[in-house]
Amino acid sequence: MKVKIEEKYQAAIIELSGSLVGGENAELFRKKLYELIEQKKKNIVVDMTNVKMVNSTGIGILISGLTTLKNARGDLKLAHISDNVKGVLNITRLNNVFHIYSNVDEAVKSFG
Amino acid sequence: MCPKSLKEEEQLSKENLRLKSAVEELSILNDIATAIASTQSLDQITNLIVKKCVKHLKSEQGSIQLVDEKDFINPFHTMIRVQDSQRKVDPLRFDQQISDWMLANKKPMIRNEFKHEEKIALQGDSILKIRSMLSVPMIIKGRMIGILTLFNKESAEGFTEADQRLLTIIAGQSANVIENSRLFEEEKKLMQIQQEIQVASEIQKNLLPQEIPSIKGYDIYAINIPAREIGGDYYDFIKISETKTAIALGDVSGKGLPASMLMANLQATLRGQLLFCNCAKDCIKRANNMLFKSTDTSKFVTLFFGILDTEKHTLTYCNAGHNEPIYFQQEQKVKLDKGGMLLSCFEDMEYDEEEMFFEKGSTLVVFTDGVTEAMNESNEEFSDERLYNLIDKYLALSSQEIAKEILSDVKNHSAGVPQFDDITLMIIKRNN
Repeated sequence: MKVKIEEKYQAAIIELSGSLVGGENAELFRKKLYELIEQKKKNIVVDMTNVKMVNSTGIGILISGLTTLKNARGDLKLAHISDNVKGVLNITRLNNVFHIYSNVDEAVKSFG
Repeated sequence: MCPKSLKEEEQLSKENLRLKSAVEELSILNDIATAIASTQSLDQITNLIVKKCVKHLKSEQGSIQLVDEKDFINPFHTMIRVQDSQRKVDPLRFDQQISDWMLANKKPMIRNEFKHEEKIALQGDSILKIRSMLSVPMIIKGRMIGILTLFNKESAEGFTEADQRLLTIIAGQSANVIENSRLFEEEKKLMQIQQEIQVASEIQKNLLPQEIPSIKGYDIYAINIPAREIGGDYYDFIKISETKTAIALGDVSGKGLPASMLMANLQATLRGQLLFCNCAKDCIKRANNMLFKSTDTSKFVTLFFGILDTEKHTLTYCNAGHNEPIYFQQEQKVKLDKGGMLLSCFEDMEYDEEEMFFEKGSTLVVFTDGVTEAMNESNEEFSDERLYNLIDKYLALSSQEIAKEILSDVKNHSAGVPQFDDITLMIIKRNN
């Protein structure tokens, strides 16, 4: 799994590529996400274009990132999720708490 | 007496002295080797080595410091300090500078002259004057595992080259023994952890139903196959009354011991709710709030929960973010998707429930993603479709036989790939 960080307008974008499943992969993502949160970044977009799979550990990191940011009056938005990931979010009903956009630009713009 | 024979005699006596000291050295080495052979604990071995060195090399004190490779800030841990029991002096504290020097140079050091200000501080307030010091590294295959040091040789001349040679040999031999003992102790700790995991695994197995309830007019089967010794999947049958039984099947995020602890908490929470109410969605709502308070937000549970009324033949269920169970009624397939958010991440969630009639001859299959997401060698999932088709094909069989067919097909699919996720399956059929 690769994790790339960039900033666009008022948002930080985390671009993930690979499978967001447990172990070192997920740990790297968690670390980068929390680094951004510690830098007081409030608007974070996770670019999921190249994430084909996600498991419970990966989902757990997304949820805790979302709740941490919401408590700080920020948000964690998802961009361009695969059908597989969409399926997981629908089943778990997490599609009701995550804002999901079809691409990064839309997600970034949504922060206004 | 001729001068030649005098010279010979001199040579002979020198040779004798050399032999005598060699024999002494060998007997010291032998003494240490024999003593070590009968001990096993790391403390005992280091203690013994230092004691013997202090005695045989006639010095006042000695110490062994072992390198802790996991501790970067303070890599040296003084294992043992031993002083000659004849004397009443405080044990010396090993000087940081010596260990730094040794770490950098990895070679023996003798110092027989100390300036006044170079006294080594003692533990406590007093200070003892160092007259002489001999320190050698303990090395295994180029890796320094510790330092063996002696202080204050009895004789005024201080430590000699011969002392250094002997102590170097002792350090070399001891290094292996100490390392072995250290590995042995680590292994013991590991074994203890494994034993604890074994006990935890037993506890967890006992939390899952020990037997499947036999309910008149129904054919029920459930099975759980954890991927590791301890799993995070949960299933349960909880008898509410003669005609009502709660069924539950869930998947806890993560794996192993942490997941099993959350699973135990989930079961206790859920069973507790049933003491207050028999309403599926209320049980789930309350359980969610309780779990929310006792876990951090990166841990969650997906759960299918239902109350089977075997008098009215209804199932009232609430699906909290779990893989949709599938209900087969003749040609029809229905996914049970009423419910709400997965459990334990968000507080005060609202949940739906649905009451459905359990027709004669119909079959309900509840499962965890360990079944449908089992991978083959080309990273392809078993898939929902394959599961549905399989159930369709074997609908006429008993619940246990259907489960057997599913498990064997999953096994075929993922042949050569180690089981990654826990597999749990519950099948409920209403007899014709």
